[in-house]
Amino acid sequence: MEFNTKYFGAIRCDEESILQFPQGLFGFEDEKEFLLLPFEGSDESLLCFQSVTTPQLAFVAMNPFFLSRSYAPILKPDELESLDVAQSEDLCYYTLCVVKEPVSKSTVNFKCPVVINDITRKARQVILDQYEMRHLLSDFSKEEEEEA
Amino acid sequence: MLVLQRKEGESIIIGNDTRVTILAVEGSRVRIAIEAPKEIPIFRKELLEAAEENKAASDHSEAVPTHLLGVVRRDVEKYEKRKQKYFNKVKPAEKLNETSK
Repeated sequence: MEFNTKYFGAIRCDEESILQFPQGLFGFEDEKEFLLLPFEGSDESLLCFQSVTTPQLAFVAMNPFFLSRSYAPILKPDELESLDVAQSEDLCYYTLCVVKEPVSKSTVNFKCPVVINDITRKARQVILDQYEMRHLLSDFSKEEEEEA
Repeated sequence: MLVLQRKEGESIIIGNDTRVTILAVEGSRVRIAIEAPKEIPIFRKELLEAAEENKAASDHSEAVPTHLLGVVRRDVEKYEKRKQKYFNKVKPAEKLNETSK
């Protein structure tokens, strides 16, 4: 299938690559299908959720476990059930990023990760009781230094 | 700001036609019933905040995402060796024969 994308122009992908978001994303409830596309040279640490129906709509995303070792989201029972799993560890998590200039001012939303069941390809966004919506990217490199 | 105490089953009235009733208090959770005219929008605050943050995340008119490459930690190897409870197994979509840049 061919897709028009915000960052990569026209691309071809397998139809099975499409992630299903039955509830859409918060504020984008009509957007039910996205592709998770990696930026080249990022080793899958920097990606984007590209809307299938709206080429100009894409969310920059990161693998939160690259950013913070301690990130451990806990979903509510009804959220786990909607994704057909028994525990939070069975799902995959990507956090959306607000990109700013200079990029060190960019923030990631640890409170509202996009959660994916990689087997069923079903996904949704959740609001966690833990974490903040605006973690400064530059703070994570500090955390790493402190660990070292 | 008006601050008042209510017990389970008690209500407050706002304006002429909005009633807020405390149904139950269970530990740190409070169950609230709101009776209001249909045209009055009622949202959980964090839902609105999440929607606003998503709107900000979808608009990168002033910044280029690939500039982040230098900032994002990329020790993939370490991540894969790490024995942690959480691990992202999703394979991102593969771009087959990119037709344009």
